Amino acid sequence: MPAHDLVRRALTTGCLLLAPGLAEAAELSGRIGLISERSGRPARGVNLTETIVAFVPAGQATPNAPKEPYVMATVRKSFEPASLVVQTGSSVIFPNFDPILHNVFSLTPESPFDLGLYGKGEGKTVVFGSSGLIRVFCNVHQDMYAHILVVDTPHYTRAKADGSFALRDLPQRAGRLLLWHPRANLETVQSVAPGRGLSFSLAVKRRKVPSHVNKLGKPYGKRRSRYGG
Amino acid sequence: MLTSLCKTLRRGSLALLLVLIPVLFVAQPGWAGETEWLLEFSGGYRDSDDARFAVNFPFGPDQIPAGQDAVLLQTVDPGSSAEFSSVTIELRHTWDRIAVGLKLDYLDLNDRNPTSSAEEYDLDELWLRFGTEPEPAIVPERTGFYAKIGKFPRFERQDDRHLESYGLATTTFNRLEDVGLEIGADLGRFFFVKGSYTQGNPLFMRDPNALAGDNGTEAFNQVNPDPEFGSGIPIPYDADIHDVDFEEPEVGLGVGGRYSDDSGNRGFELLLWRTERKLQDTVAIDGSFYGGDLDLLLGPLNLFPFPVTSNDKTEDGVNLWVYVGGFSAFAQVVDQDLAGLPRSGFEAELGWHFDLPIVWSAGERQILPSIAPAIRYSNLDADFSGPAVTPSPSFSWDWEKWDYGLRIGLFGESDLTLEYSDNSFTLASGRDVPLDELLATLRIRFAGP
Repeated sequence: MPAHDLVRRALTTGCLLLAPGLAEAAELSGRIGLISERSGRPARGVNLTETIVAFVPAGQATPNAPKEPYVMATVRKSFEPASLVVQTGSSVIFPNFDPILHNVFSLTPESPFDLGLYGKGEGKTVVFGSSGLIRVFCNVHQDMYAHILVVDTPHYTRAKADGSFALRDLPQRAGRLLLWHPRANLETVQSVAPGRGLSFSLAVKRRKVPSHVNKLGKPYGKRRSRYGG
Repeated sequence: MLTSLCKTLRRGSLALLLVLIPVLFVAQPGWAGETEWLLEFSGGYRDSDDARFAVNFPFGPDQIPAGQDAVLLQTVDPGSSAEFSSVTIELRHTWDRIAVGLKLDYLDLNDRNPTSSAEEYDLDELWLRFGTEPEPAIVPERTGFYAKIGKFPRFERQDDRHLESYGLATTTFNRLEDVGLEIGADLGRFFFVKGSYTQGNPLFMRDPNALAGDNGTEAFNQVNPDPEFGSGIPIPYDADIHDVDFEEPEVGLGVGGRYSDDSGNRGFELLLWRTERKLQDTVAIDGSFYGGDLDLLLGPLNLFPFPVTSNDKTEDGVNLWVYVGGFSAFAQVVDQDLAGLPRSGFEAELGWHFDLPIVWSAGERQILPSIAPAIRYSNLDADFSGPAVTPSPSFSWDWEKWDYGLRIGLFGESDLTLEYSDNSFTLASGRDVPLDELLATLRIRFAGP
């Protein structure tokens, strides 16, 4: 065997042996619980699978957002899905599958938008350029609501029904952990290193149907008999 | 009809000028503002109990209706009937902190008594407002002030009824619009004061059921009259205003507190209020040969008076509004001194609004978008006795009313309200008499924007 072949084989073998150590992906897993703010006990009647866990590694440049838009549809006077997690810079399209008019809007300062009245069809697209929690409503139907959590990371997941979660293929360094549930505030835990067996809790603070104003910042007119009298 | 329209338009034009002149002084170039409008057609079906009582007043033979041997207090239109009630136009225009409002009715049978026979057109509202006036149980952003002039609803009135009918307390004390000036100040976000200097609604009489009577109309002023509608079983109430007359103005004062979440979805408001004025000797009531105010209480030729002791008219009241999502509650307690005749009224209404799932649609709007059941209790206690001989014995009867109803959203802002009024009153003898009414009211509404 020529000498250079031996060298090449040795280098290849060495690289293969070293590679798992150099590129080993980290995991961050654990369990999250929802606590009643009043009683301090586990909250009842909340769906843990709506909990979002996102990890933002320190010093990581924001990766490119997917080119394909996410979809949040209006179906039977509800948003489906009722919550989305998207990367900063992503677009979300809001098709209307109902045979009636909707007016999707948000007054969230990070990404306010108003799609106006539109009927059944493909809908309109919004690009979310800033991270944050976007609250989405319909100006026609007060009981319609949804959330879009915009994050600067591709590492996010939803908890399982028992509250367990696992984020895999993470870089081996600490970062911020974002925790959110529709009934809780968005919480940020700083300097979390990947690992297993982590435990977190969120306090249930918000109503099931978030209270909100219409797109003009005024109360909905449902309770008024149109000028009354 | 044409004469009635011309009369209303003439009054309306003058009032409009008075309202708009101040706007012209403060208007800025480039003002566009925002206009809201509503056009409503309403009609309904009614089925009313037949109640009638011989009056012991010695009417002359010519005054007794043909075919009767006595003058009767009787249900306006007993049995079933269907009718086209009204066309209503409402306009609101807002420029930043200035707003004008107009509401014009054509032939509103719900306001019958006696005005429907006098004027088929009725200018319900025409006002100009400087500043922002929060709705009940909506917390303003900051301390504020408003002043409103023109013809407008009284500040203590419930403005979001869930039924087409009115409760006894509202009917008696604050159902109809007044003319004058109203001011209000929000003291911080949670407390407020209101004051009013108005003409005061004239005291007149009406049947408390939805279809009221036409008292003292020309149809009754014939020899052996045979009017289309009965007199009704009337109570004294604060009637509509048609002519401006500030001879005995009314002063009103209200103080209250409110709280709501930022959306206005959950909140409450408590209002304590008082109004007072002097009753006039008489007030001309359009369409009736009876006079209003003291004239009404002193009986024919002032010879058959109720036991009045003064000409003071005061009302002290407490209102409560509560909103929790689709649930709402309103309650009102009023204590009245009517020239020395004490009366009190109570009213409480509970309503629920439910959005319905989409089953049918047309023109990109949902058919049957909502239902709103409601229940209301109201009573009126007259703590005085009438004269032994009077043409108006029902003035001193006690009344009690339960209203049960369901408002069904039909399409857009149009709806159908089905309701049953379990209405009864107690005669001087102590006997309870029912005067129930079944109502179905269809409102076809077009609104913008």
